[in-house]
Amino acid sequence: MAKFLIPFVIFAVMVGFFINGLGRDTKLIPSPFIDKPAPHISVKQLDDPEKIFTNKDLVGKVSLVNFWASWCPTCEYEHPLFIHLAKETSIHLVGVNYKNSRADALGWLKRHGNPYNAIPVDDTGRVGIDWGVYGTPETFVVDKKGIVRYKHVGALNEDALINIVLPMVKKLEKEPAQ
Amino acid sequence: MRWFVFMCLTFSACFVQADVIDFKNKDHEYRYHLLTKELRCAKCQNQNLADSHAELAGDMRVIVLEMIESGKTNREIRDYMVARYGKFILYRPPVDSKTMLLWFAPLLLLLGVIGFVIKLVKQRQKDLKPSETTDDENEKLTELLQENNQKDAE
Repeated sequence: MAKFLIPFVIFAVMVGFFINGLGRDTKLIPSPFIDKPAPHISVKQLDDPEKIFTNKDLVGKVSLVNFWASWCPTCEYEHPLFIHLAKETSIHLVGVNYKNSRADALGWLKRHGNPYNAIPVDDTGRVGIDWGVYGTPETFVVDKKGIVRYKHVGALNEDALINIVLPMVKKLEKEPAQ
Repeated sequence: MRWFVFMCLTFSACFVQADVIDFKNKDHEYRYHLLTKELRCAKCQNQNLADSHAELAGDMRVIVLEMIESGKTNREIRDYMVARYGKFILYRPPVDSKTMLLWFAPLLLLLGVIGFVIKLVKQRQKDLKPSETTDDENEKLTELLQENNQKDAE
């Protein structure tokens, strides 16, 4: 009797593994920064190269840190959502311009609109690597203490925005800054 | 003309250059190749840093080289990458609670199969061996043989 069951048990275990793997995005690298302080950033800003954007600029408000570039078609695709956020909410939108020429970046923002409160410039891609970015666009939710709470890889979509990002931002905005 | 095209196609590969690096010494060169082979490109995820043509892989190779030249150890360089991209970045993941199954499942499977084969072989040997006869049976056999011999004699 027990012997007779062995193949079925093996089959059940395999099905278990397969169900677990179904629908999983195998390309997604989980961020090691979740619930840790945002990685170091200290770079000039696009609109005024004299102004340096640092981690201090992430403290005191809930921010969305979005890595984008003018050569990135997916960034263009998700851009209307950021425009919408800029109009409808008071979320601090930080758009890190990743490996882009200044002229290209400015031209792109002129064409598609500029929703960002600050645009740190990552011309070497070092900020991207420090933040564990492996493909633009990527968007981080950073709380008032400057701690990374969530990361969305790829184009931000309505589904993720409505179900995850906005409820999280709402909750984080109630938390004290200190 | 055909020859010209042929030659162009054949030798064009010779002019394609990978990034040539001036290593300070043999040790740097060895470590650079070692690390770029075992670190995974986060962008094209089935390639290591050495093989990948992704821009990100190029940037990461530059960091590896910079860190080697600034005297960082292999461990420090691996840790640097793991801190940013997680253990995902290592083609040779460390043994810990999460990777235990990954590391030891093949060994367990092998042991299981060896055990199974040993059991199978023993069973076979048992089946093939002629069974031992008891004393009673021996007596009966001799009797039968004797009867048979007598019959033959008659």
